[in-house]
Amino acid sequence: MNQVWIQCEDKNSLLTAIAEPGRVMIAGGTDLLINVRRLAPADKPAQMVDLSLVEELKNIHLEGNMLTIGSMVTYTQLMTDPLIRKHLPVLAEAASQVGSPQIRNRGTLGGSLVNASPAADMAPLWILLKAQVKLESFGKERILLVEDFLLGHQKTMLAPGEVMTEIRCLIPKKSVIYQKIGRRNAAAIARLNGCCLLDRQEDTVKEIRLVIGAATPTPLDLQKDCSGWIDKPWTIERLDEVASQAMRRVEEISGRRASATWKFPAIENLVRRLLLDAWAEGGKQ
Amino acid sequence: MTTFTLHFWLNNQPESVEIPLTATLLDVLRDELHMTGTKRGCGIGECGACTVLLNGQAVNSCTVLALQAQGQKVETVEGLAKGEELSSLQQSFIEEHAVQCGFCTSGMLMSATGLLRQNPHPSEKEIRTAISGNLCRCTGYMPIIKAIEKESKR
Repeated sequence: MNQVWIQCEDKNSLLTAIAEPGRVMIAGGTDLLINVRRLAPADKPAQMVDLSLVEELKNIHLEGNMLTIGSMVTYTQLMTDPLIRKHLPVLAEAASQVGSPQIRNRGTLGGSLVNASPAADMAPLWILLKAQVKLESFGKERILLVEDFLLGHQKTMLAPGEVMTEIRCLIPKKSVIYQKIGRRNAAAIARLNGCCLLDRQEDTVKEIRLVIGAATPTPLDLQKDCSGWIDKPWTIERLDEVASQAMRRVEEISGRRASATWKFPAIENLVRRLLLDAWAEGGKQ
Repeated sequence: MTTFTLHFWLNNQPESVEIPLTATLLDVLRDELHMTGTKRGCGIGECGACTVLLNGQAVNSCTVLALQAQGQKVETVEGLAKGEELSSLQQSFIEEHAVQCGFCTSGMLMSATGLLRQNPHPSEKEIRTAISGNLCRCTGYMPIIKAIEKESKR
């Protein structure tokens, strides 16, 4: 195959470039190039399209309650963006825990979603926020929930000729709590992470969203497992119940792998901690 | 083999080089341009030994596709000194004994340069964050942090 390198500076030329079959898209490259390095020369991509210079895909804007983030926004950009810091600071906080400064300067939100690592830092948050992604191809576009976009370990709904251009979500009424467990603070991939949003009136729970990541091939949405809580008072028994339910759900999906010895108790504790913190946050006006 | 022409700014000088499609910026700096100040450590973006500045931002050159630097500004450790005269950050590293085996030094210097350019008076925490993607197995980091602090006060 003829080798091809195309750098696109606008979305139209990008959509034209990727309409040809066999073209590999590169964004920040922080995941892709690690994979390419492992390939035999004959298996390395022969035709590549660079998305990293498309300015249209680097915007962040807020319209009413809807936040729209371009797919080529880097973690550094997300961390430092005034709109994000003001309206949805948990995104900035989670972004600041991704990799290292070098990776945050290069890695993009769209690249990470398309790479679909089970340990992706931001994925549980997108699911909790019921975020949608816009997938565009020449003359067409479609919108999918992140939850439906992610299919499994490095598997997504992205079709040939399509590129993710936007991620969008509504700003929730309550603050979202995000936590990550890694081997160390810097440059660590999440061994477990999760996020929680809880809305309550006095001691009565009105809404809970809870998602944990890195324990299953795609983030595990535990919102339904928490539904018994709605319109009921907060009790420690129910907290324990949800925590052990989370553990059982992970076991059903991922089985008891070698990491289960530490991961199962860690999941229970992570869920407890997320719920407790979200409970405190949910009481704030 | 097909090659592509990469034109970019390397330490403020125009540079052109013929390279394969999947070459990383690190491959090009070291193997094509023989700029060996930038070190190859893990090759997978974890150790920071290959840190360079791309348009002023610290990046791991092992996970940047060289062709993505087309027309962009790249700065390496070779760009810090003026001839035989070290930059004052390099001088601080020497004064604070921030160099032992030296393998992480180029990357540390570039992360620190990127930081100080954006934030000339960082707190200790900001310094620690800025070099959190650079591993050093010799110094225990404190002399490096002190050197960057010293530079920020000059």
